[in-house]
Amino acid sequence: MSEKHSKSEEEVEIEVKLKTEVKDEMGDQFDYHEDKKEVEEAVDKHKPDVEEEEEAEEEEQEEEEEQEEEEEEEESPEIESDDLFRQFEYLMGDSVLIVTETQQLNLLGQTFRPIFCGTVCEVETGHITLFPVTIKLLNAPFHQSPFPLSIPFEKIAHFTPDFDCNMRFPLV
Amino acid sequence: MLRRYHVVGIPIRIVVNNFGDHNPDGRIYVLKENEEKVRDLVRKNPFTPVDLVEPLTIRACEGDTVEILFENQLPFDAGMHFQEADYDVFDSDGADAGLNPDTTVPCGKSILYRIYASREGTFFFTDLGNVSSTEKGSSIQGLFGALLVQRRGSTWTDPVTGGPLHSGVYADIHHPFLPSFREYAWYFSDEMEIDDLTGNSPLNPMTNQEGESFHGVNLRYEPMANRKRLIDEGVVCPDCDAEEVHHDSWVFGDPATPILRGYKGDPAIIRLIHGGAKETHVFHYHVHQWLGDPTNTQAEILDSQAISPQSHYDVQPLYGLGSLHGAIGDVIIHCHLYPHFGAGMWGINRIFDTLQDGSQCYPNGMPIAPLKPLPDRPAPPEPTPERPGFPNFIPGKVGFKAPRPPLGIVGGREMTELEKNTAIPNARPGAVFAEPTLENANVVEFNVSAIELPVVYNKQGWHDPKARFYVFDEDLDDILSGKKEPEPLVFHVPAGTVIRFNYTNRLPHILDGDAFQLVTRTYESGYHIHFVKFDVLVSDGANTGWNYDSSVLPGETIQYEWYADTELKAFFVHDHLFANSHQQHGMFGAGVVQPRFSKFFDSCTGEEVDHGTQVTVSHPLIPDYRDFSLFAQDFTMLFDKDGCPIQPPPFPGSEDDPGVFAVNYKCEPLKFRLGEDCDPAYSFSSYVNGDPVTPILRGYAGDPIRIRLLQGAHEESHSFNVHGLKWKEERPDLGSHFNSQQHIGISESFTFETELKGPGDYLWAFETEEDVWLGTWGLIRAYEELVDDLIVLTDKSCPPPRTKPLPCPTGKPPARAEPLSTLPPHATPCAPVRRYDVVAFQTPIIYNSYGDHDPYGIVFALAEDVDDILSGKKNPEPLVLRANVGDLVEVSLTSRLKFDLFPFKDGIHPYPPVKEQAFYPPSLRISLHTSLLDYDVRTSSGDTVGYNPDQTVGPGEVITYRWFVDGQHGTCAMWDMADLRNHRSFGTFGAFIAEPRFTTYHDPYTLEEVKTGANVVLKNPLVPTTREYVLIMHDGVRLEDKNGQLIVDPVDGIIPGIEEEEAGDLLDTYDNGSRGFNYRSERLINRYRELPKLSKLFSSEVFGDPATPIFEAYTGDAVTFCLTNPSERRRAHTFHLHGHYWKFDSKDLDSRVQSFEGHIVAGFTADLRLIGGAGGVYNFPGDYLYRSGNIRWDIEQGMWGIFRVHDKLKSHLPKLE
Amino acid sequence: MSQQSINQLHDEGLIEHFTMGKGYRVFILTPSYPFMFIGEIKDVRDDIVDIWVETTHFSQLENRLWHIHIDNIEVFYIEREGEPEIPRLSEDYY
Repeated sequence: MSEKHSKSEEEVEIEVKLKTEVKDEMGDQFDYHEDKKEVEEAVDKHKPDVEEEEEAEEEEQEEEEEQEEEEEEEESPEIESDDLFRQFEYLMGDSVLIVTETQQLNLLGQTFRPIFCGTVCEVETGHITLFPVTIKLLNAPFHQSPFPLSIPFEKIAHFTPDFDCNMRFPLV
Repeated sequence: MLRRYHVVGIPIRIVVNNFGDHNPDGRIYVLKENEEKVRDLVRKNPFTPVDLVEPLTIRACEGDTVEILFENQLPFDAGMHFQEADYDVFDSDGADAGLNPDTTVPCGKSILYRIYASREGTFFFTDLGNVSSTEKGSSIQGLFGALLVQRRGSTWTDPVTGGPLHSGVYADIHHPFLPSFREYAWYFSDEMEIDDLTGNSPLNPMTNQEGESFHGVNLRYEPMANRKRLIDEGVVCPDCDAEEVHHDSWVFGDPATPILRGYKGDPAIIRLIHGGAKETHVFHYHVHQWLGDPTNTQAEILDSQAISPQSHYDVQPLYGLGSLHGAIGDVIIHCHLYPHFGAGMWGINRIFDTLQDGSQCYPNGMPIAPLKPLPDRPAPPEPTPERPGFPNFIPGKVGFKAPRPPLGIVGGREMTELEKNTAIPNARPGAVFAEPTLENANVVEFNVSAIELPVVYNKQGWHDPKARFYVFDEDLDDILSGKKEPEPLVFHVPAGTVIRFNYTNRLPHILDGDAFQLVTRTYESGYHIHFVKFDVLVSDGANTGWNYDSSVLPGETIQYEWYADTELKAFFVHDHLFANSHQQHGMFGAGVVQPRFSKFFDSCTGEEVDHGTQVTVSHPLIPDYRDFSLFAQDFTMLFDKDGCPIQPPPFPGSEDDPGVFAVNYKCEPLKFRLGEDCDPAYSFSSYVNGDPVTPILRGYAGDPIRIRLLQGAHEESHSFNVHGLKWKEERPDLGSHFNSQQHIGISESFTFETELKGPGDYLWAFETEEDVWLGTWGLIRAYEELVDDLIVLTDKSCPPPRTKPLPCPTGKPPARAEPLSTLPPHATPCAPVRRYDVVAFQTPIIYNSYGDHDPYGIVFALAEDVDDILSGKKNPEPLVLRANVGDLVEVSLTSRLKFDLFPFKDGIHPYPPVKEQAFYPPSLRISLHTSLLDYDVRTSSGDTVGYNPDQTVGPGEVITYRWFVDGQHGTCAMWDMADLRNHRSFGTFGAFIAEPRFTTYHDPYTLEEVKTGANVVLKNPLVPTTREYVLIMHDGVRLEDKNGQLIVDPVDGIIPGIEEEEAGDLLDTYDNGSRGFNYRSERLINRYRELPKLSKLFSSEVFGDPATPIFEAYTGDAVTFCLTNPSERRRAHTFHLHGHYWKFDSKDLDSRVQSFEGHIVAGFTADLRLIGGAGGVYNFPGDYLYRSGNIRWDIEQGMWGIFRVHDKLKSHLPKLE
Repeated sequence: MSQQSINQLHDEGLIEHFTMGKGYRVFILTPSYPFMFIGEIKDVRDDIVDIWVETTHFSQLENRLWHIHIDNIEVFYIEREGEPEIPRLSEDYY
């Protein structure tokens, strides 16, 4: 973890570029990502029992099916030219930090800045879905939503890929 | 959803600590299901605290209807009044207010209250059947509690068992998709009756005099006096003094006060509630910060928060327990007012790092109760012999002082094996068990020492022979040799900085005795810090619970490490070991976390610096600014030039308000500034008296400035005002409203960001009467032309070269100001002009129908009303002026003051008193000052300060001020600045209300257009027609009764009365005087004399309506209360309106909702726009009390009135269209 | 492709996603009052989604049809079979 964050800007840039290129060539089959395991391990820690794991497996299967469908869709010329969509597709399974546009959101009276960190688990033409996903609540910065969260592309103010969701950083 | 509780009010013995201190006449609310159990437990444990004897804390969810069956078993009529709640005032108010049915019940009877829990939050409840401020009263003896309303869908469990929970101050709150959190209810209360084990009043073992009164949390307190006695008797820690181990669990075991338990990272909310009667406390929570308004992500960050009686806040620590860096250990929480802290008003937040299942013990063998992990968080690891978890890896010895931390003390010890096992990978001095620092941090290192050296506070030779303060080591020689003048140490760092701090204790072992204090062995000291991130076990600069003692002996050096993660404000620093003994001698300072990439320069020389109370900050992106730090001080123990103590306490070591006041180790008392003509109107004038020795904050006109406001010592509230400047209340939130006043208590920190909008001298002052009298004021000086000793901001153009010499003292009053020669800086040339003709004159004011009156009233009135007032046709009301945004207001003021009509012609004003009474004859000059409006400070501030021209008027003279209404400021304070000693408390104040454009003002009974008045209807083509009520809450009034006898309030108003000897040391100077709203006071004692039945005293059916304003409306009418406090005492008030609530910041929809206003002191203003209008959200008709929240000593003394909401048409009150 | 059409594409994709979600439960956060909706997607018309709302911040606003402008939705989740469920907020207390 600490090693990862001591990388210089250039190194990171090169790495991202490399990944993108490799992905272009190899598609999703190539499991290039070291940190991905870490993320998955981190996720596993939070899974309370076996049943859920089974559920998760089922999910994965379904996700795969969905992805197949998406791949079909991908053939349409419009989507191929959507760089944001493509970039998120490459980030499938990676963790990203996303900040959306509004100043604050309000969950039953608990207000928070809209900062989310999670693993990309679904990408469609108009939105991205993260799961597991952390909502950076001010009093519980590692609070995991019990269900996935989808974010419309058009609401994304900015995001950064390859982000360690266990990292502590100031929120105020 | 309907929820039901059966609550009983019972008399009960309250044992407040393990020393057997107890209140034999306690009164509490308890659930019926626990009534027998609690009575039984108390019977069996007469000298041990019983857990169930605590403020009743029950819970509901937002949206619930809560039915409370209240059964009264108390020996007087009682009830339950709920703040924040929606309810029908006819059946659930818990009071007998106005014409409403009585909703208190006599002993043995019950009543059903129905409460609508419309919002999440704290619904504080208290009794209004018996508001006596004495030990015969209810609140003061413990009768309060809260209904805690949770977010919809929440459930709660017992943190120990995980099982269901019906009541209790601690709960774990759960929610299907919000994080579970620890909820801790924290009730401050004060002044409760206490007997010791023997049934006598507790004695202080140091002074052998009566001990400090009860100041506690959740009806417990842990005074130093008890613990000291164990040391004196040789039971524990034979080499200790007392204060340095007051909070040390190694010596004494855990305190009886609350220990808020959780695991590292647990989300938590402390429901901070003031259930007490009198003091405004300051809640301080080490290590953690929170948003001042949890509903607004742009709110200011706090780590200290003032809280007045009957008010409440949510403290939601950012990042959960242990903060951003995940600290573990004991985190002290306390009232920062040191005498209260010493008296026992503290507790601990204990953050465990290993699982507590009940199998573990503390080092002294006491079992650690189980603590369920929060279900949605990973459970902490189980303790093992190698890693036993906090506190069992700390190599302490029970019965002795906590051990010193490893690594940190220069020449000190390494870690033990157990410590190594728990330590972070790169453990280093000052950061051993938590990593405070995030990556890529900038590192600075400071070397600082504490020293003792005499400091002179003013030109008259007032001095502190034993001043103690912090200095940078590089300044030591210059300060010791007198080359540099001591000032509170303020260092500056950019955000994102690690501060490595080497602190050397160069203080003498002994703080010598004198008229103020007894000899104290202050043999160790530390450097405790607020706001930044640090390892609390080793870098707290304190000695708390089972932590290390992170202080050092004389001659030793300790290394601390702190991390400033983000741009903060000034953070407070001070010693935590002997704070109550020597902080008032100057042991305080601050660090300021400036924006990243800032550089700091000496404003005179331009040299780059890293410390100083006045610096210039330069930044590559944001505008450069001047940075000024001001520290208020009280309990300042000074001697005059002849060595006589100034205002010593009744006996050395007494905490009965000793000494005087100061700012940054300086004071400029007004009694030394009468000048040759002996006219108080020129006390602030530098022409007559030269500049004050107190700080003059300097810049050029147009410079941006940041004022860092702090309070260094020691026990009291202060009210900071700047005349002519204003700032956003919540600095990060541009939507928040403007302020030019701020209440402050010790350790609080505020940043005011504004601009020196024009040249001139601006007065800053801690502006309650006694504070200013004793010299807590100074200037902000904005130059128009270049001066030699002030650098120009790098991003501003150079001011024009000097064309005229700088002014200097002449001994003569300055020339008269000519306000009509200039426009206010923001005024547009074609602004519509609104003119008022105001006359100041003397006239008696009748305060109520019982004949209480002020024969020497001084009032402002419109010229057309003067004859009616003087002929007795009109009983005067405070002057309320109004104008609309965009108006240029021209107020012509005439003085008709006559020397013969002043009561104290010898120049000594005896009552209400101030400290250091002195000859200060009444001025016949007078002025009008307003806050918040825009004006040229040289002509229209109403102050004759610094080198500004004279803005007061003498008899027969007229001055026309020009004020521009540059924003929707709502209520602005308004008062005289010519003679605050002889004028203010007689009535020389009012209010100015800034209304929206195009508004017209109408009489509520005739709807005819009017110019002024406290009760008007506002009409506007776009904004709804609104009823506006102006409430001027004031104190320090001198009243006489119908027979001309002086009324000595508050004592004369206490019900049922107190013995003369009790009254002796009951009051501080600033408690004196009568009080009320708008020159009226419905003192309850007058009613009580007619009918001695406490629960009936608010009843209009019995006594008729009160003399205080009756504001009338129809249900649903739009209503704004304009609330201000222009005068004059330092005791802060709370305001509460029954059955209604409003946005804390009237300008900001994201701000929290509340039904009270706290810390009201001179200069306070607020606009309460009632949500739902008259009658609240449910539009219930009836009589709603508006009142102070201070049982001591406001309500008895007449600070209450009625807001009457009709549902049927009344012939005298036209409906709003 | 112009910038505007990319935005349109995203909007249309989102509308499509909501359309596919008809009959499923949805969770929505919006910066506008009342900030949160949980309910079942009934229909999608142009860029408006019709939701039978079972839970919001305030019970008075529940059990009714809300028409929500999809462009104003900041965060959401449409529940699908076999995927994590949106918890049902219960008010059945002891």
